[in-house]
Amino acid sequence: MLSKHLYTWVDPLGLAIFRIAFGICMFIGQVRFLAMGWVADLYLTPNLHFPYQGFEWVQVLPEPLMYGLLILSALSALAIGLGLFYRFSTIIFLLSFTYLELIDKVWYLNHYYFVSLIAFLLIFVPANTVYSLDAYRKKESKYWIPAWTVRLIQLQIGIVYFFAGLAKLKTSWLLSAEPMHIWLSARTDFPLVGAYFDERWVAYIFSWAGMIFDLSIFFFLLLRRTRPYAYLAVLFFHLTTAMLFPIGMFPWLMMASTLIFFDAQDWQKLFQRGRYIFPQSPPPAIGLFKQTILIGFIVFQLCWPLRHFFHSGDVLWNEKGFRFAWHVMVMEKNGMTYFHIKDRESTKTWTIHPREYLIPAQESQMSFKPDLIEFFALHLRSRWLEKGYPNIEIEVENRVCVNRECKDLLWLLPSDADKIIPL
Amino acid sequence: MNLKPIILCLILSLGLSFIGCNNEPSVDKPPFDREEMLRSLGENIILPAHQNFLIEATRLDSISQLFVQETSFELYDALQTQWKRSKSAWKYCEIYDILSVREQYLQNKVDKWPVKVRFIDENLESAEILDATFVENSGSTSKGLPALEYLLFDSLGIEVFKSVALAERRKEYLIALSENLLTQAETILSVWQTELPTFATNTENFSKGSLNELVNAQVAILEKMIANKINKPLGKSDGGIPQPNKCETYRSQTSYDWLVVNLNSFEQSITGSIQGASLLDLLDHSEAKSGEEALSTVISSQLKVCQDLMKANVNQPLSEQILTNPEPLEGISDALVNLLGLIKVDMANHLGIIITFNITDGD
Repeated sequence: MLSKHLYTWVDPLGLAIFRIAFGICMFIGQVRFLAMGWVADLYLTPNLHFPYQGFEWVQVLPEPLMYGLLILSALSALAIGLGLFYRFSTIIFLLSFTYLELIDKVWYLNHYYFVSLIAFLLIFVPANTVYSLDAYRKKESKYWIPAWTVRLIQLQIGIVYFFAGLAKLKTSWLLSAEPMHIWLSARTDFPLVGAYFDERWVAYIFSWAGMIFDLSIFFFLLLRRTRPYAYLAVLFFHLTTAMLFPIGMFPWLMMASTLIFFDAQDWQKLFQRGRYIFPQSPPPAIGLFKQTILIGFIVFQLCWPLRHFFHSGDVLWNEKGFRFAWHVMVMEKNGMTYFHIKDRESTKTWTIHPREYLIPAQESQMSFKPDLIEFFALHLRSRWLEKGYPNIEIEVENRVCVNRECKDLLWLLPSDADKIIPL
Repeated sequence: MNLKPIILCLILSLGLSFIGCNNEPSVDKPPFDREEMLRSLGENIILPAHQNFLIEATRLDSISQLFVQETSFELYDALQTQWKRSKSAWKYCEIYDILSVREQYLQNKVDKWPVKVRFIDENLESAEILDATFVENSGSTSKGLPALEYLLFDSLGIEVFKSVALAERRKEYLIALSENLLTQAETILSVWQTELPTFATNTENFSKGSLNELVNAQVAILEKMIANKINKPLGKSDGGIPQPNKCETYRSQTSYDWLVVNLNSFEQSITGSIQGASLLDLLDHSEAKSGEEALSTVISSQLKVCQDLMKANVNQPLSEQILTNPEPLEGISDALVNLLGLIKVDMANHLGIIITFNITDGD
């Protein structure tokens, strides 16, 4: 049954439209990144970056190369959209975009991760067989592609929505309508309906509707009968979030990406285009190497976002397994930290305000993420070691609020340990 | 063509429009009027503070002109007193480093410290014409109130304008600095007069919204008070070794006064000028709690703790007290950190404020 859905021919139009939409979206996104001056603000200005474990080798490059990388990324996105040297462009885009995202954990965004995943999958699918410069250049268009190539992208999008829905199954989201109430209360200026945004019941409607939308939209998009309504819901949902919250490119990316759920029949109606007669024989089987990679990828995508369930404690507080798990807009979190350094061999003490070492946006993020606090404490220790203080301990005074609940936390980095411990 | 989705969409839009167009929305409580809060703050607190600074800067310039003509002890005293009055007036403006004032770094031209003594001395010794144009083109660390303090509170007193070398050059520089300060006061006031309507109506909660700007400014002034004005002089960046020369205005021995004024201006910014239209009222409206108590009450109490500590504990210049009796200052610093936490973390969380201007986007 599954095999029938995967190993059949489908019209490549839907995938081509997806490629064009994705490429253009990312091109605009990267040009916007350049125009906003974020290369300097996010990468060149900070003196310290918070690397991902295992990716410490991903460093900020010299200024011209950083701009070059961004431009390369933008141009390769444009090339994807145009279908020019498609596979090569996709690989270049994946590498350049992901490199930029791996430099600093502080700038992690779910939609950046999503972009890297989609770029990775695009390498394996023939999204340039029609409506592409490659097809024009080679003077050949292929009007049928294996169905699995489309299903793969659809599955990835479905995973994003479904796990984002799962992440909302939290007491604060469902029983207190937080952080939705905080965010909506701040938008009573919203035209027409803003007067209601102060009301708790409105926040409940938004919270529950959002959760149900995330958990179910994938399935409604898959079914032909419900697809048009589901896509309207996608438009309504993402346009609403785009107007209400400062979430940049994400809504536009998702509205463009979900076009992949429309199949050839839908597009044929729209474009008044005839149907192609597909070959009688089924598509060839996927090679073992490619199959292993793709199955491994899917299994990883289905398991990795669940890892926070295996950590003790609340993921919103400890953030263990928070990233790469589609925790999209589930918390309003703020923090403040002061680092107190004590030299155990003398009576010397220092109080460090992280703003002296970090740019404000880094300081703001670091103040409520325990792994970043730990990294910063270790960084201070190495600085003090260079200054000739080999035996220091660092106490971190930390106040954090998550969805209106606030706590004072105290951490200690002992002189002989590489982990902070709660006091 | 299947029209059902379009019809559904139209019905939904009409429904929302109908709800929105209803003149008397049936809500349990009317929404908080953020525009009124921002407008009253702007008109009754921010603008008068800047107008007052302009008045004081004008007087400072006038007395400087007189002093240069007649270098007497009376005018020297008057000038020092007027410098303090100007500085005090400025401290009520300092917190409002937002909008174009921040984007154009205008506050730096008034009060960037510590002053670069070497630059000023080099200017005095140079052959440059020391006039307002020269000062305008100079860097922020050799002009404004700190540069004036350097000239006016020299350990040699009035003699630096009378008998010692470069006395005449000092007078020229004094005039140039006073004139430039007056120009800066006019510029900043003019910016506020122009931008006040936008400030009041920009009620959106995105990073450039006025409420975000205001709360970030409150956070910034508290952080500056803790880190730069207390902790650095206490030596908390120097292994606990006190640093009297890092006090804001150690030459005039007035550093402590500005801490008090900074806190008063913070209080004004959070309590507002109209009953029911302040940030604390907004917190009450959003039912913000800290434990069992209203967050607004907790903030007010902590503010009072800070003010009481400031009133009670210090009776000598900051630069001396950090050497002889630092404990009360440690207490003030701790109390301010607690107040900062309530603003930067608790209040920001309850109101959905973006602390620091988010230079990327999304989630």
